[in-house]
Amino acid sequence: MWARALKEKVTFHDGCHGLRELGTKEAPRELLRAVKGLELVEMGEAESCCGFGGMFAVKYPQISTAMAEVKCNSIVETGVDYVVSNDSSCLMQIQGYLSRHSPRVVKSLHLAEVLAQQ
Amino acid sequence: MINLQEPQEQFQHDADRTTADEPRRAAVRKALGNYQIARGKTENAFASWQHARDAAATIKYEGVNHLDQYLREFEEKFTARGGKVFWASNSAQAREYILNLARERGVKSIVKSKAMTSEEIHLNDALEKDGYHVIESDLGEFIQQLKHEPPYHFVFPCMHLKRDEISALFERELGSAKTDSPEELTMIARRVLRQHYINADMGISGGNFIVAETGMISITENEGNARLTTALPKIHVALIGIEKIVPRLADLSLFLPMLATAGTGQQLTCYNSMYGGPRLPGEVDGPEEFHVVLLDNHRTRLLADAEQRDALHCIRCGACLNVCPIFKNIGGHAYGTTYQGPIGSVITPHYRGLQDWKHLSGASSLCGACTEACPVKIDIHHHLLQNRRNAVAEKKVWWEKLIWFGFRHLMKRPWAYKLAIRLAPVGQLFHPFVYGTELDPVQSWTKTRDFPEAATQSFHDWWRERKGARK
Repeated sequence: MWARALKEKVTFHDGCHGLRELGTKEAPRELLRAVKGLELVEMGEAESCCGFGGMFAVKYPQISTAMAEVKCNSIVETGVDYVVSNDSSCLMQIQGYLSRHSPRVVKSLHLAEVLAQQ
Repeated sequence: MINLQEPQEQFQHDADRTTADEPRRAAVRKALGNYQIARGKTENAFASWQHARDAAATIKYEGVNHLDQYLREFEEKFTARGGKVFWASNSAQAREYILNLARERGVKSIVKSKAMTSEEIHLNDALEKDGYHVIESDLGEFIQQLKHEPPYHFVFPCMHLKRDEISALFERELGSAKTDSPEELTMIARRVLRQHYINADMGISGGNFIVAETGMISITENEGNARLTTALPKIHVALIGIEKIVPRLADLSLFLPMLATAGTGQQLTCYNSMYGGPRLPGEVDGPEEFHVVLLDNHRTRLLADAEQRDALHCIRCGACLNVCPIFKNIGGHAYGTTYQGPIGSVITPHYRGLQDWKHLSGASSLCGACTEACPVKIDIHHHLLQNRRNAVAEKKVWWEKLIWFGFRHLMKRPWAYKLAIRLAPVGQLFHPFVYGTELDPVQSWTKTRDFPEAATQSFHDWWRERKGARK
């Protein structure tokens, strides 16, 4: 997945619970910046909800998907190869949307997966 | 637009339609993006925005928890200056009072400034049915009235419309020439409205704050239309929700800049006026009669709910709508409520029935952007969760009950859970045959998104192997 030197461009998605319930904005970014060779590119919609929200994603798929669309367009715009987050539910939603709709391959990774490679 | 019977069905249907309209979504996103930038700047003008929020929440807490005392204080001071106060328990009483007043005084023409309470009680419909000519004087409301549409957003009524759409509407309804200039469009509306102010014999307004200490109401506006609505006609009626109370005049020194900041990103709204009663002997202007209708309409029902009563702190700034990803994607009309967005989803079940309006609390990812943006610190997204809980406690949904029954039994039995994990990759081999079709058990996911592949090795197995290797 992420072999060789980590000469990759990534962007970080703030999961709502991490960001707003726990107030962690900088901590994951600090960790990412400490990864050698990795370039962190901020996206415009970093703090916008990805639209997962548990049962919401299947009870209101049209709204959930519209939210994913806004999020993923912002990810793709940055030109990164990877989107990293610390919330696996968000990643399921983001990866699910990207692999169906993204014009180019963008992979999703959990922050722990990135750090485990170190 | 198809009119479906159930609010929930109607909501699903409208959300399908509005989320498919990407140009409209993009326009709303852009407008609210500009709001976000402006708001960020004005927030920074406060020595501490967070302390200001704490102070505001404390003041509203005091007001809302002593409504009995402060509303009476307001009434006493206001009536001492010749004003009249009517206590309306519900929308019918409020409508009746205003209709009677119009009948008794021989009113013909009515001009209104922005009042969401009047939308709430469907006042225009009632007045027009009785033959009165009613005109909205707030530019956004004026446009919506011409369109025969309710406001899209309770602060920005026509934010969803583009210039050319407004120009076309004016061309059709007012016979004006086509123009792309916002200034020209405003002047067209202004010319029409001026005459109405002069002709109107009753002015109806809302109110942003009720000040107990001085017996006054405070109205905040950007266009000056409320000042004309309340000053030119000989009768002024202000229709205000009882929760708009603040104890002291000095409290406005916090709330006026706060409302402007959170509402529009302005440091202060253009016009902030205080109204204390009708024209007194020796005064040169102002209405001859001034009535304040204090509207309950189920607000006391919300007050009785200790858990959610802070929803009455709301100053209707609209900040929660402006940051809400649901609002941005479905737009204001899809809610089907007077008050749109997160705060609307919280209070509408209290005002209009939990079972009919619980779906709005479900239609949220609970991201919490609303709670973060709220200047008076209403715990909005947790209230959505409480509405969901209350709805289920009152009436269970059979298929949800079945799902949670299955889930609970799977999670309680490690062997069953492990088996399910092992079977998942096998089960997934069959998924491609039905993927995204009506037969797909997860169709509402796979219709628009790819389903994650089950890992061939479970985390438990991987962990065990890893531990073994380290020994």
